[in-house]
Amino acid sequence: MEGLAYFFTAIVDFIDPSSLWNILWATLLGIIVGMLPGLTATLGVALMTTLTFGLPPDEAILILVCMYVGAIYGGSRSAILLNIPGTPANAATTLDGYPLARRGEAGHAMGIATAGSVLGSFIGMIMLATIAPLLAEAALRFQSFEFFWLAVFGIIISGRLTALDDPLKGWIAGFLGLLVAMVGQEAIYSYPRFAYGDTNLAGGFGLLPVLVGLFGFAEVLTVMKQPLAAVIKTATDSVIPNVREVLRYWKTIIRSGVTGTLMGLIPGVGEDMGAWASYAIARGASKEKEKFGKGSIEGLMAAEAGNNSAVPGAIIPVLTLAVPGSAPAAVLLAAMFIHGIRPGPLIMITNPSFVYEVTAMVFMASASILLYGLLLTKPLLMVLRVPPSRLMPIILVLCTVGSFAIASRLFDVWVMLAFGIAGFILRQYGFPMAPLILGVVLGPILDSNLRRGLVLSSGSLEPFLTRPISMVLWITIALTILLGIPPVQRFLGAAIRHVTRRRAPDAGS
Amino acid sequence: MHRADLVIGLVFVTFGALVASEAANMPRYANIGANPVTAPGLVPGILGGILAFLGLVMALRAAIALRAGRTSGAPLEPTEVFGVDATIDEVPPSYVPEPPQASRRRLATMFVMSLLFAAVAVGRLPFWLGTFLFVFVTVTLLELPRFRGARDTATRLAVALAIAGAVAWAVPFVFERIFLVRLP
Repeated sequence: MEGLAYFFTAIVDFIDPSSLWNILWATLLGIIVGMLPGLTATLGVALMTTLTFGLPPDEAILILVCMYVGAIYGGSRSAILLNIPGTPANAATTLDGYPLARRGEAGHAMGIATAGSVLGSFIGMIMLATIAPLLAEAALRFQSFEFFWLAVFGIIISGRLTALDDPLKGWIAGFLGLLVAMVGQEAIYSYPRFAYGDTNLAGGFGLLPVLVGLFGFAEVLTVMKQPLAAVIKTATDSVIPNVREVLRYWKTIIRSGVTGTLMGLIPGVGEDMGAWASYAIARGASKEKEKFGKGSIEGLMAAEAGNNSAVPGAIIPVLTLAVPGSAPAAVLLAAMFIHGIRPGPLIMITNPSFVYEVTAMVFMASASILLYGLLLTKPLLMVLRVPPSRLMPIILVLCTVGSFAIASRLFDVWVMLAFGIAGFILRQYGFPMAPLILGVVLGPILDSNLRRGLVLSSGSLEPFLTRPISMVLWITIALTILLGIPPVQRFLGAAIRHVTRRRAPDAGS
Repeated sequence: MHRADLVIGLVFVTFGALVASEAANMPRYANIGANPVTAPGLVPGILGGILAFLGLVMALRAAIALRAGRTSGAPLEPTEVFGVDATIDEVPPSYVPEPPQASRRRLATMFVMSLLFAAVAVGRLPFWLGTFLFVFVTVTLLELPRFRGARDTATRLAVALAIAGAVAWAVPFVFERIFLVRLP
C-alpha cells in the first residue's frame, strides 16, 4: 500500500510542465535514436547521461528512462519497414513485422508493435514495483561471498546468452571487460594497477567513454562498412491498433511481458533475449504456429511485449543489487552513481520511494510511446530517409562530446577512440559487446568482494562454496559452463534422443 | 574464420599471460603485515590466467578445425535462438547494390576523419571550428561517389555546408548554454 502511495505521488509530481516537457522530448528522441539503424538504446542513454549531467538527479533519471523506453520501442519501425532491426532488441520483430509490411500492412504492424510495447512495458512496470522490494530485502542477506559469485554469474550467463553459437567468445568478452576494470587505483591500498606512472591511467577507464566507444564509434564504423539503404518504404494503412485484435492475444501479452521482464532481470542479458524468449514461448504455445515467421500478429506482439517489458526488468537488478540487467541499464546505473544515488540492497531502507519513482518514470514513458505511436508514426518515418553519410559524422561529434563531458579529460576522448576501434574489430569476429560492458561494471564488485571474502574466511574457500545462495550461484555457473561445451552438448543431445526413441515404441505398444 | 580465431586466441593467450605476470610483480605489502589475500595483484592475476586459458581453448579449437580441413566457424550472428530460426535471410530490398570496395572506402574515410577530429583537432582548434571542418569534409568525402554533374555537386556541397554549420552551432549551444556541460 505504501508503494502504491509512493507511485501515485511520483505520478502527480511528474504532471507539471517541466517534467512533462522532459518526458515528451526525451521519449521522442529515444524513438528517433531507436529507429535509426546503427544507433542503439545504449548509445542514446550514454549520450543523454552527459547531456543531463548538470540537471537535478530526478530530472536526469527521468530523461534517461524515457530515452531507454523510447529507443527500444523505436527500433521496431525499421525492423518492420526495412527488415533491419533499429536496435538489437528488435531482431525478433523483423520475423513477422517485415512480412506484414510486404503484404501492405506496415501501418497495421506498427500499430500492433505499439500495443505490444506499451502493454509489455506496463507488465514489466508492475513486476518492477513488486519484485524490486522483495529482491532488495533478499539481497540484504548477501555478503561478500554472494556478491563475488553474482559478478561471476553475470559474466557467465551474459556470455552464454549473448553468444549462443559460440559462448567461448561471450566469456572471453566478459573476462576482458573485468580486466579493463582492473586498470587504475584499487579499493584497498589505492595501488594504481597497470598505470605505469600515468595519472590518467591511475584514474582508470571511465565507464561512459568505454561505452560510447563500444556502442558509438564502433557502431559508426560498422554502419560505414555495411551496404547503403536508400529506398524507404512507408505505411499507407492505419497505424491505430485494433483493440479487439489486441485483446484476442491477451494471454500472449501477459506471458511475453512476464518472460521479457524475467529475461531482463538476468544480469547483462537484456532486451534482445527478452524478445527472443517471449517469441519462442509464444510460438510454442500458439494455436497458429504455422503463421509465425510469415506475418503473425501474435508473434509480432510477443516480440515487442518481450523487449519492452525487459526494460523495467533490467532496471530491477540495477536498483536492488547495483548490477545491470542490460547494456543500457549499465549506463543508467552509472548515471545514478554520477547523480549521487546509491542503488543496491539498502535502497528500500535509505531511499524507499525511489523504486516507485522509477516505476512511475516507466509508466510516463510508456504513455508517451502510446501517444507517439498513435499520432506521430507516419511523420516520424521521415527520419529513416536521413542517409548514414550525413548522420554518422554528427554521431561521432556527439560521441566525442559525450566521452569528454563528465570528467573534462581529453584522455577520455582517446579512451573512446581506442575502445571504439577494439570493439569494431572484436565485433567483426563475433565477440558480443554486452558481456564486455558488464565486465567493466562488475569488475570492482568482483575484485573487492573476492578479497574481502577471503579476509573474512581467513583465506578459506569454504564459505564461497557452502553458503546456500553462493552454492546455488556456483552450481548454476558450473552447469552453464558445462552446457556450453560442444562435446557435452552433443552427449546430452544424444542421450535425450536415445531416451525419447526408447519411450516412443513403449508408448506405441 | 578458424584462421582468424587461431590468431585471436593466441593474442589472448599472450595478453592474458602478460597481465598475469605483471600482476605477480605488484606489491604484496607484506612489510606492513598485510594479509596476502588482499594483494592488489590477486584478482588481475587470476583474470589474466583465465583469459589466457580461454584464449588457448579458442586457439586449440581453431587449430583442430583447420587440421580437419574446416574453414568456416560459428556464424557471426546467431542462427537459432531458443529454437527460433533467427537468420534474417532475405537481403532487404532497400539495399543499394554497390561494388565491394565502396564500403571499404567509406570505412577508411570515416576512420581517418574520426581520428583526425577526435585525436588531433579536439583540444587544438576551437570546438565549433573543428566540428564544422570535420562534418563538412566527412559528409563531402562520403558522398563524393554519388556526385552527378555540376548542379548535383553544388546541391550536395550546399547540404554538407548547411549540416556542418548547423552542427557546429547547435552542439555548443545545446550542451554549453542549455545543459551547462563543458566542451573540449
